[in-house]
Parts: sequence; C-alpha cells; structure tokens
Amino acid sequence: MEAGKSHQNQVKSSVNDEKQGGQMMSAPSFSLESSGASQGGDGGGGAIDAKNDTHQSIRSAMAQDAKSSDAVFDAGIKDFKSSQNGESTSKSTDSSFVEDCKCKGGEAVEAPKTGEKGGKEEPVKTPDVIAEAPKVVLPTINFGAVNSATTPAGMSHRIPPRVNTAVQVTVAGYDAAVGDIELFVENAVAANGIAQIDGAATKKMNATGSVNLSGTTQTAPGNGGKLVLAARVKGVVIARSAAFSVSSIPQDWTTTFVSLITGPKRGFVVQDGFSSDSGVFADLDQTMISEEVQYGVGTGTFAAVAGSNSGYIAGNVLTTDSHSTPVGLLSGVGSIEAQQTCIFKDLRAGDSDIPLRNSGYKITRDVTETAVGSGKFQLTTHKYGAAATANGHFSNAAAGDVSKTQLA
Amino acid sequence: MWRSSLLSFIVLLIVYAAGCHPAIHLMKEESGKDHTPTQDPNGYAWRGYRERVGDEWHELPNEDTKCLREYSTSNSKGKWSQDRRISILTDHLTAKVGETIKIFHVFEDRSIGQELYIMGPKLVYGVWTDGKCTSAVPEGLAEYPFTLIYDGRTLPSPGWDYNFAFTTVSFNAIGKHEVVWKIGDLESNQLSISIVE
Repeated sequence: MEAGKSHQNQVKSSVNDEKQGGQMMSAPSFSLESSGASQGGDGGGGAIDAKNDTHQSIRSAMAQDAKSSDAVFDAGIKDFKSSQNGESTSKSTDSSFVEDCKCKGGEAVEAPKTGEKGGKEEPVKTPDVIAEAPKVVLPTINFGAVNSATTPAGMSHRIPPRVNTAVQVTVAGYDAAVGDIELFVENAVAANGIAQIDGAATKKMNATGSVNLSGTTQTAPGNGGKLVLAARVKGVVIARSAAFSVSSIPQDWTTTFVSLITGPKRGFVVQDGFSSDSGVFADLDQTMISEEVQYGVGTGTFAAVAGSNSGYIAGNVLTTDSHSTPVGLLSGVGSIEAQQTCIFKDLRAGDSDIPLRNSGYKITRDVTETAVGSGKFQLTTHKYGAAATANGHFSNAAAGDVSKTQLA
Repeated sequence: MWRSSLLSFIVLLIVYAAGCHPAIHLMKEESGKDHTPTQDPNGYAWRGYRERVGDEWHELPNEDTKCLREYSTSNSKGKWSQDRRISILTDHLTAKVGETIKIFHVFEDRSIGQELYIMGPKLVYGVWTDGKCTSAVPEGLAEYPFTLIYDGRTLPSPGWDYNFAFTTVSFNAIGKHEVVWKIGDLESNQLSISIVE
C-alpha cells in the first residue's frame, strides 16, 4: 500500500501540472531511468551524467514519436504502475512501446480528469492492483580520453589535424527502445576547431568500440579546450568526453652537422630539425619553441662557466644551433657538460613550457693537450642524443651525434 | 650547322631546367620529414621575455616589457658600428629616490646573414652609471654574444637580440643620473633618469 500512496502523491502532482497546462493527461505511462552515472575511461576522459532534464527531454522526444498513443510523459508520473492484470510491462521498441504499454498492461488506466466544465474535481483513485510499468533505461557511455598518443604529459588534451586519434567508446545497457546513439563533436566551429569521427561529422554507435577522430580545422589561439566528443539520443546529449583541442605540436628533434666554427672561436654549427605530429610542418604556425640548456660543473679552464640558456622563437622555423668556445679560453685543460632539451608553447591548446618529445642532448667540451707537455691544446666538442634534463624539463634522447676536434 | 646544334642544346637545357628541377625540388619536399630549412622572415619578432630567478623561469608580463616591445619605434638607440649597435631602454625615466629601475639591453645587427645568439638571458657587463663602471667586462667577453661559451639556437641577421638579463639601478640623490652600456667597440645610447622625492 505504500506504493499506492506514493503513486497517489505523484499523480496529484502531475494532475496539478496538467491543470496549469490546461490539458488532459491520460495514463498509463512508463518511466525512464538512467542505468548509472558514466565516467571517463582513463580519468581524463570523463563523461557527464545523464541528468533528470535529459530524461525529460528524451521522454518528450519519445512522446512525439508516439503521438497516436495519447501518452503524455511527465516527471510526475514516474513509476506509475499499471493495474488490472498485475503484469509488468516489458520494454518495447521505440516505435511501438507506448502502445505496448496499453496493450500489455491490459486496460488502460484513465488518469483523473480535472478542470472539466461544470465538473467537480474528484479525488484520485488508486489502482487496486499494482504492476510494473515499462522502463526505458538510458545507456551508460564512457569516453576514453580524446587525446593523441603524441601529447606530452602535462599538456591539455588535444588531437593533431590530419592524423587519426583512436578514442574508446564504451556503451553499456543499450536498449534499442531509446533509438540510435549518435556521436558528434560538440562546439565544432572554425574558431574552436573541427574534427571528424571516422571521416564524418557524426557516427551511429550503439555498442562498445573505438572511433578515430581527426582534426580538419585547427583550434584558433585563445579557444583551446572547447571541443567535446558527445553522444546524443534523439537530439539530446546524454554523455560528453573531457574537452580537447585540435592542434599540431613539434616533436622528434634532430641534429646534423653544418660547419666548423673557426677564427676567434672553436666549435660547430648544426642544423636543427623537428617535425609536426600532424605530418605537415606548416601546421606548427601557432607554436613556439625554446631550447633549454643547463651547464654542469666545469673543470679547469671551464671552471668559471655556469648557468643556463633559454629563449622562445617561432615553432614553424627551423634554425641552426651554435656550439662555440672562444680560443682565448683554450689555454689549459678542462671539461664541461651541458644538457639540452626543448620546451614549447601551443597557442591553440593554450599550453606553455611543455617538454618536446625526444629532444634531449648532451653537449660536452674537453680541452686536452695535443701531446703531454706540448703546451698545445685541442678542443673536442661533442653533441649527442641522450635523455636529458635542463632547467627542470626532461626529455628522452633526440637524434644525431656530432663530434669535432679542433686545435686551439 | 654547329649553330643549330648549339641552339638545340640550349633549348634542351631550358627544357631540363623548367621541367626537371621543379620535380626534383618537389621530391625533396615530399621526402624526409618536412625538414627543409627556412629562415626567420622577421628577426625583429617579439619572442617574449623570460626572467630567471634561481632555478625558476618566469615570463615577464607585457606591462613590464613595454619599452622592449616598442624598441623599433624608439628614438633613443646606440650608434651603429659596422652595422651593429647596442641600446638600453627603460620605462622609468623618472623615478623616486631609492626606487629600483629595470634597464633592458638590446643588440642589433642590420647586416645580412650574421648570427644572432638569441638565447639567454645573457649576463650583462659594462654598465656605467654617472660615469662609473658598475660591472667590469671580464676578459674574453667583449665580443657579441658577450658570453664565455654559447650553446643554442641562432637566427640570421638582420634582427635583434634582447635576451639579456635586465640591469637594475637605483639612485639616492635627487636630480639627473646618466646610464650607458659600453662593451667592446660598442656604446649604447645614454639614458638620463630623473630622480625625484
């Protein structure tokens, strides 16, 4: 009987609502329930719960689908229980489930009519026999992070343009009665960036699987993190991924020998190289790169050298590196080691000081006598790829190995 | 006869130049990882200014670097010496007694193809205040980039390098005070700073 009381209260509320709307309500109906809160698959790709207002919207959408049934959906009739034969109405397909409610439940239960001309408002009658109404349960959708494998740690989620980024989509509790689940990229306009799902703007996905996202328009600077991979049913969003951007980033530093430094200095010049994770160098036009160099403790003639270097320049420009030592310093033995890495700014995603993947080098200088007691010295400058940390930024080994020995 | 043969040869050369060289160029662009070296089209670009405090690096806000960012339109710069010059800039030509004043340093090279050692911040020596040198230039540091050794990226001139540690000065006497930067054969403009109560 408790159930009956509860039902009675809910119906009253519903009736009052209908009075305000000046419409008549008929029952029975069904209830919608979420199958549970959805969460991101990896901690970063959180989904947003389907809320009550989502239920309401989907109910409305379904009601429109089932106009012929005279069914009206309302939150106040949640858990309304069809009576008469005591059977629990099963879930039904989208196109016919409202009618199923009537038929399977036996005789339809008329909700109290109120506000009729000349009529007297009657108390709501509680059905004698309680039966379960059909429940259409929303699926739970979990999105993995929409984040390229090339994104360094510490950076916000992003995908490069042109290149596919796989995103895991987990669908649980799907009931065909709710209709197709459609994936799309929310807020996809030119300023925020545009991405496609398996080569199209939308994708039907009613079961767990993986989709490939690929950026077609990069996010404009200042608009990072506004894109969301979302799932909707009948136009109503029921889950969202964590936010992401479309941007290309630099990676995989290289070094190749260009020329020796002569005259008042010794050392060499190398050509820097790096690539865009989108595969197109020009995509890096909204990035900036800073080499970071930090010196260790020098010995002998290098004992006075200390400190570190830094400096951002445009990320779509390839430059040379100079590694020079004044001849005046080569009057005695000594050595020093420096570590070099790179960091970058991504003005599209809005991230700064991000370690550039595979940009680590060690640079050593060794001054030795050409022969013991000769009083003549030579400098060996050596730059080679190695895991390195400079000014607090770590990176794995870059590519390249250049070593040159010169007389002072 | 030989004239027609020579003409044919020249025509063939032109055809080769027009038809083959672009193809070769295209192949180079398509192969490898788009590593075709390019030159910075603007050696005068603003690249931000990072200050190092101990092991920490901080980007100075724009309001603290206004004079640097407006360098190109400044009327107060050093004199050219073999297409190079050094300049000092400040946003505080008037300050109070004891107030700390930041002075920024710029090296500029208007010749083509010289190296600009744009990494830093490089320590600055050779600053003179009221006729006295406050930071003597160590031996071997009189040539740009004014460092013992250099490891890092360079940009081709023409352009500027402002990645020097800023100098701070303060004055305890009211009146005009002069600041100038001298290193090697270069001498900057002179800043005349008014100190008031």
